[in-house]
Amino acid sequence: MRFAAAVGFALAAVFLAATAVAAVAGHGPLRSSTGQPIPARPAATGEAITGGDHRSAVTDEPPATAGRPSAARPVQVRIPALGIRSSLERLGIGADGALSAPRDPAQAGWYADGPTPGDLGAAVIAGHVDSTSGHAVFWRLAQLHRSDRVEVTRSDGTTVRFAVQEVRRVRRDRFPTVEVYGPLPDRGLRLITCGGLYDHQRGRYRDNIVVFALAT
Amino acid sequence: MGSGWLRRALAATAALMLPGAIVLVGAAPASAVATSYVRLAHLSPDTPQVDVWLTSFRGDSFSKVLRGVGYGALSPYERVTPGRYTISMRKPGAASDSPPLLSTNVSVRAGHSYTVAGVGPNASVRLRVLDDDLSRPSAGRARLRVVQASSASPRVDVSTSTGVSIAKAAQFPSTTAYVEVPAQRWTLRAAPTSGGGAATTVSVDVTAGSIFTALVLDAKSGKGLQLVVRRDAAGANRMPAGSVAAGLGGGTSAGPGGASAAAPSLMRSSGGVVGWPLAALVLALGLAGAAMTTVRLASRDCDAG
Repeated sequence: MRFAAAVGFALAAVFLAATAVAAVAGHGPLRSSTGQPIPARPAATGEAITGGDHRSAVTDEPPATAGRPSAARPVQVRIPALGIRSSLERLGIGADGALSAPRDPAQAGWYADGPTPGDLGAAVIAGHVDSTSGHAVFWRLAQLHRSDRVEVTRSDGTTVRFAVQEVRRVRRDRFPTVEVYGPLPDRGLRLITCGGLYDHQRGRYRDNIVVFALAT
Repeated sequence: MGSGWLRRALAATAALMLPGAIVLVGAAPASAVATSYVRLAHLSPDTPQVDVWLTSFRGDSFSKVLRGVGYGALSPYERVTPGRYTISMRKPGAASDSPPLLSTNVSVRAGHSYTVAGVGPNASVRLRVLDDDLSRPSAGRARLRVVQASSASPRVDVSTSTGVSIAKAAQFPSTTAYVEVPAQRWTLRAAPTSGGGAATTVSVDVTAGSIFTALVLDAKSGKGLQLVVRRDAAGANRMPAGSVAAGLGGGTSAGPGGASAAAPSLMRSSGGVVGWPLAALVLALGLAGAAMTTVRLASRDCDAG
């Protein structure tokens, strides 16, 4: 037993040394989460707004999505940097009150009781990190970097492009619910999967990976 | 015996990884998605069109101009980094270094949203900075406020068709506090508090989890009011509880009964460049301590069948 523990220590030490060196060398993929506030870029929209047009109507922001929340739904998500391309099922809230994960581990899903990607607000797309037997659609999600592109095609034929602002690993018992689902005065997207340690006893991952993105 | 030995060794490794992961998560910032927003409004009925400039104090040449902004206009929110900004109104086409008609400064805090509005009659027009509260309304509800920018009707009432009062005798120019209303399709009605003048109504799909601003304006032509409702921010209609169970464990590097247990993200600390060396130091101290004593290693999370 002592021998086993000693080997364990040795393996752990080697692993840590290697990863510490990698981190110092700048290979830590989650560099966007080092604590500085995200230096947001000014939005790309630069047109003049027209004055004096004040019909009695509800208008969303930005003007590109003027009108009520669209009836469009997202049909495909693409993450070119990771080679991910998936159609989308509709997700809802399960009996436990939590967001249900997609039925098919190979397919991502969109939370249909929230904003549509490209509309005002934070749209949510979730996908499994793995199935019971191997990798799933969002296996590599944690490898995204700030500024990586995410594209969503909608049922109205439009494609909305998002840029990653932050990739964050959060403990599932400290999930940032309001940040993910709360009001946003912008066109945002959140991608969610599991991460961290898998607890075989409880059959669950300890963490979620949450990717925050804004429309470009 | 050989495989049991290896398994325990791997289990020890994985168990030692666990505290490292906790340290790293603890080192992560609580919130780094702290984008701030500023938008601009022209709410002075008898002030002609202007160009509105938003300029950073930092001298990083961030400057944004909205040209030909007329009464009733409310721009989209602009993403800005926190810091000090100057908002200036100039005659249309005037150079950015020409003296402004009006200007004010705003300190933009991380994660906050602001509306900077030119308000009041032209003779005494001024720029007002509103710190917009875009925090989450209670479950099943939305939040709504009224900006009274009609000079023709100095006092205005705004209510729902079901009689819920949103603003009572709101004076020109003013902004009410946000009121929470149940989410549903509302017909909002604005009317002068006293005297004649026709009321105006607008039908609004007030969705749960969203924030709205109702602008009361002088009608474009003739007398009377115009009511414009803007969705300032949108959230999920229903907010799921907690996290998402988006993994089934089959991608972990050891099969059933195996020791290691990590999605690909384990290697990628959210502590980034600082986190791993720190974790390595903490764990090295831990290892030294552990080596002094005989530790019976429980494989905890990782060695379950």
